[in-house]
Amino acid sequence: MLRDFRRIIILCAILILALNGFGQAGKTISASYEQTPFEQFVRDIESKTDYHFYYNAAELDSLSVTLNVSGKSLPFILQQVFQNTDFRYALDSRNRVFIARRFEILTSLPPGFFGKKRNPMDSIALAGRDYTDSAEEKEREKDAATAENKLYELGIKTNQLKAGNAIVAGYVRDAKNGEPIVGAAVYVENSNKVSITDQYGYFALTLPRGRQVLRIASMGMRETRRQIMLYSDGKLNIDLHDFIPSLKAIVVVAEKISNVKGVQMGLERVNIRTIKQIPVVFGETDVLRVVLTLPGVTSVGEASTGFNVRGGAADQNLILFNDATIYNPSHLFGFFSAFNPDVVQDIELYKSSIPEKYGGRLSSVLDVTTRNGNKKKFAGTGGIGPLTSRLTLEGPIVKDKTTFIVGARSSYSNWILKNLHNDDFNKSKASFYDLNLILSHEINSKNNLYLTAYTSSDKFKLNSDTLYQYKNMNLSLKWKHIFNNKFYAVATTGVDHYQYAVSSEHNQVNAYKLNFNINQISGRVDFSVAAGSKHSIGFGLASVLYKLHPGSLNPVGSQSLVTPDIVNAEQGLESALYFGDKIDFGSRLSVNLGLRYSMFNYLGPQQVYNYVPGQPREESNITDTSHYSNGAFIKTYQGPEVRVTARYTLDDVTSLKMAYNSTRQYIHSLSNTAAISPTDIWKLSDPNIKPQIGEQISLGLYRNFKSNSIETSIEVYYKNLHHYLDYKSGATLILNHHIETDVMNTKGKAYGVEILLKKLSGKMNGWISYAYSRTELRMDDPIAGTLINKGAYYPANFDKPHNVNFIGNYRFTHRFSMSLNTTYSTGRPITLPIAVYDYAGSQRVFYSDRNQYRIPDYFRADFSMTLEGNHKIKQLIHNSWSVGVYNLTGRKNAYSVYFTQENGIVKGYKLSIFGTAIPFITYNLRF
Amino acid sequence: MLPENSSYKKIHSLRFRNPVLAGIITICLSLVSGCKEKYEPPEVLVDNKFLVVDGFINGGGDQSILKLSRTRTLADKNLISPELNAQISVEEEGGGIIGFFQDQGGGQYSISPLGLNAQKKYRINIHTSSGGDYQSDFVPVKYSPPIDSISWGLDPTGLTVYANTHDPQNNTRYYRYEYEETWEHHSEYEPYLQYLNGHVVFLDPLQAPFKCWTSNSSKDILLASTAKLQDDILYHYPLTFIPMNTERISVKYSILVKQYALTDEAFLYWTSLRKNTEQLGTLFDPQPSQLTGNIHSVSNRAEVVLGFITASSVQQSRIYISNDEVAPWKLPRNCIQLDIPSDSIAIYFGMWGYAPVASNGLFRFYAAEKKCLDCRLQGGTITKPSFWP
Repeated sequence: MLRDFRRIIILCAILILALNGFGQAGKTISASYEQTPFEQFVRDIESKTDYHFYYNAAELDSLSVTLNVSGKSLPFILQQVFQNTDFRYALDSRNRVFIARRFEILTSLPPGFFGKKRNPMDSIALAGRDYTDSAEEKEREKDAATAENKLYELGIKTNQLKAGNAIVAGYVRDAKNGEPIVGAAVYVENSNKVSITDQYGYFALTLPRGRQVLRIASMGMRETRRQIMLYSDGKLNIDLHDFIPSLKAIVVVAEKISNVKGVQMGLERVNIRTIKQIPVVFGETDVLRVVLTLPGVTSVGEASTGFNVRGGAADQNLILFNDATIYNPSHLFGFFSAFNPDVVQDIELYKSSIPEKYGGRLSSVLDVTTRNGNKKKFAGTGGIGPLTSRLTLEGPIVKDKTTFIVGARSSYSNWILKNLHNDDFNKSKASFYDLNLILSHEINSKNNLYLTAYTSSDKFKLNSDTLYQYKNMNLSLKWKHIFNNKFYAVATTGVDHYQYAVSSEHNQVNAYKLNFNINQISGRVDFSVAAGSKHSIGFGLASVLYKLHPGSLNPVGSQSLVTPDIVNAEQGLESALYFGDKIDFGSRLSVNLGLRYSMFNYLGPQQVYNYVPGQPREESNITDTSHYSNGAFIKTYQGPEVRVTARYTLDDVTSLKMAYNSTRQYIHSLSNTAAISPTDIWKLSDPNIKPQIGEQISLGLYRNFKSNSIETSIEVYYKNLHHYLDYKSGATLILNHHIETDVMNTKGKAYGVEILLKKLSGKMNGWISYAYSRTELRMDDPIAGTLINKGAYYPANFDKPHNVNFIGNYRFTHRFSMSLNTTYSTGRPITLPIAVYDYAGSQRVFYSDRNQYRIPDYFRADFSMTLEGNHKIKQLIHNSWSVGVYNLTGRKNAYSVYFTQENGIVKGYKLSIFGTAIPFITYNLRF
Repeated sequence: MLPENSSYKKIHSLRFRNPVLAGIITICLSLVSGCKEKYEPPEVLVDNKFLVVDGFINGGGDQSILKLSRTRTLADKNLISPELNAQISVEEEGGGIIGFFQDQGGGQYSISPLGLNAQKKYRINIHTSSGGDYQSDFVPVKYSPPIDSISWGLDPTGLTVYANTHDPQNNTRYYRYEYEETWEHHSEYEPYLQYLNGHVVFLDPLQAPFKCWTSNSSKDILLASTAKLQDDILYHYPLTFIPMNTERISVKYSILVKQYALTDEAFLYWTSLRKNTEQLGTLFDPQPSQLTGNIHSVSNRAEVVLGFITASSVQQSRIYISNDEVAPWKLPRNCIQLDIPSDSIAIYFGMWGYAPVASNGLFRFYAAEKKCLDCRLQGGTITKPSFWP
């Protein structure tokens, strides 16, 4: 019906337009209107003249008229009124005025109906002032192109188009399930104006008023455009459609655009689709493994998801899961990451210019964002692998308003171990699980609530009587409020908990349990303002209250003689204020100026040891103990952190960027093992342990080739680290009441080059990266006692100069694809024995200076094939199989090299984690 | 014990209920236990041969023995490079030199009982033949409480020997153990014949290699701490593990345990030494550390000298464990007897290394491999140790 009506209108309009020239000049009118509704204007004209108006009132209710004329003809007045609008009028000989809008002919009529070439710019759309695609969902589903060709009129419609800029803002969502699309680029063709959607899918773009064509691109989604007529600030929600693989390529325009045009530097964004393509051990899609394939990211060994970014230590990465801080992001010693791939939407890794919003860690921020649940219908995904199974359910609680997503993943290794005959394995335990719950609720168009609950838990006991356990528990609540198009705020509050325990009950007399935990309560408010076309401003404040229990040893059972030993709990408050402004200087130069001021208060109750000034911090040099009451401010550290990035566009596909970044860290992990281990001690800065401070300067050149389908970049950086904590030789870290005597401040420098070549479209896609990176430490603490390597620079544990990664995926058909992942890196440094001697009845070894030698180089190739079931849309369960081989060449990569004496003779051994090619098969399903 | 305490148990074999599980477990095993293989590091050459001082000042009623040697490179296959012709003296803090060590040759030096004063501190001075002067720090004398008992426990996998001690004063806290184990073992057949000059003759029963005694001393650094316990009581500290049905307790086993008390610093040194040489390689082990003891060059503080001098007494205790106490401990019997004609004895006994077990009538012999009839081929001597009951 509607369509028929429209056709009639169109025909009428065309005829009328053709007759336009024949209209009568008629009598003259004098009138004055100030923001007069169109309806009133019509009534006034009709009362003054014998003209009669025919129009669709609904269409014109948003048009107001401001006019001051005397003695003008109606055509002149109408010309004024409809200037800068898409309304056209026609007068016929009977003084009838027809008002209609131009519209896209092809959307409703067959091409060539008028023998005229389709011009999408000449379009008329029928809609209200604020456009939301979802309001016209059914129509859009029938023909998505309608939205592209429709003209959206934004803001308060006026007949006079004001000069200057206005802001268009809104959400980009997935048309299928209503989830926000993060990292989509909303931009205007042939200009540098681009807005990248935030984690809520929100964008705001300042544009000159008038007719504009917005292009919207996002990885894995079909690129689209919106034609807008911008009168004043307005809202535009955009639904994107899945890229359907029957087309030619996966389009990753968002990356292309943000790479060259974005101001951010050293930002790596990986979508879950890409993550899922990469072959991993046992076929368990692993979010953190993918991070390790990015240039500038290394790991000390295979069994470690602790990663090192540009020569930073593993504890210098802030790992956020929907804004909750995760202290141990791994399962089973670090073989798997603790993020369920079915709830993850994408990951972002900031290596260089860390946004001023983030702080508290020196090297990087890894932001893991989850999906928000299907808004339209109930759905689920699952997978069965050799070690774990997982199930995720999602759907609307209130359609289009409230959604949930709940994911669970668990191992069944305990069951396997129990089924073994061997006693050693019967007693062994290794189990883990993780659970996720994410709720999102749209209160109204200006207010949204998001709740994330997360827990992961691990227990293992292998061939020994010692049980290790650790657990993350996190809860965060976010409220997003939009004040207006230019201004929105997000308030976040959360509770994060991490605990670990070691226990043994084998010997009744020595039965013990060792407990550690970290608790933090955080709150933050972030504001975002689009001020004019040249500025986008972000500011806010954040605070974290830490409470750490750095270790308690307790007897287990009545027979145990273990003395309870409790290291005092410690408390600290970290607060920060930040302000950032992204300024566009003309079309070529963009600068992001950020300043963060952070402050840390070490709080009582506490007892702090005082040492003889200027003497090595050793037990023998403790002079006295200071006692502080609850809440007392024991020590305050504060300082500014500067985050500046500049981008200069050389041409359409090339840009140059530069960044200077400084960061401060007040919480440290103390480990004298190379990998992240569950028994690492976390410690707050205190009067004896200074905060770590880092500064980084980096420079990058970005260029895209072949119409942005190949992107390349080269980045160089130099970093200074102050007060990095390294342990003294033979340090005791567990249950140490004066840990400052076993650690010392070192000074570090890190530098390197990263080269990336990426192709993310076409049948063949993937990337090659090369990184040269060095990290050297030097002990310059005058009160450290014996200096490591006599105070000279020595390579850090994670110093691996050469790294090459290749990730390739080839799609043979829509259902069948193959992936290859190869990685090469220099072996990490180790301390080697340089001499043998006899002592206490055995041969012993004498070790070199710290980290003077390296383990053999690392090389690994993995291969996987994914076969998807049929692509019929209407089937109960969509399934896919993934088959592959991890470590294809079976190379025995050294995890470590060590020397031990056996029967009095020193023998060298090389330990590999995965010494053979490991085949795997996984079944995934979706319903 | 705290997690650093190592487990003696090793994985020997695995049996699986079904092949699918077996496959999964194989993967798990390669995941968990990893693949360990021998590794020869790139040639590491060091010009310096560092001085090594091994031993302690005996504060009890026994002589003190010090061994001086030099470090070798890893590729050097020589067993030991002793430091010869050095002069060593013991010095009391504020009391001057109280004695000189005698050069016993082969880098070994000894001094008769010193009668140290428990309130004083002592050090050693070394003057090497090449003219180097070295000194230890002054160390206090630390006396060890007596060993309460040496006990053992049996489970299906084998036998563990434990040490138990306590200090009523709660002063000792840090302990180090050494042990010497000796065991009697028998050849599978009792020999009474031998092949001599082409003839099978009777064997002198006193010379028959049927009963042997083998000795072995502890190679691992055995350290115990009661610092985290309320009372200075060490209970069931595991010293050694003997796998089930092995030779050591096939007849009779004896272990002599020596207990030393350590100062805090000495305990740290020994802990580091143990970490450096015995405990590395698993995922959670700490990294090796540079380890210097309490001995220094007088002229050059930077020169590396290895070893840690302590002054302490030794407490000893010996126990015996007989095979019948650990029933059903049984050494598997592997020998096979061959029936050979007497005209072939030159081939079997002369060339192929068989030995006569018994005669089988007039013209035939039972023969078996020599190791079945000579316990010395399993190690040990036929001389009964003086302490053996």
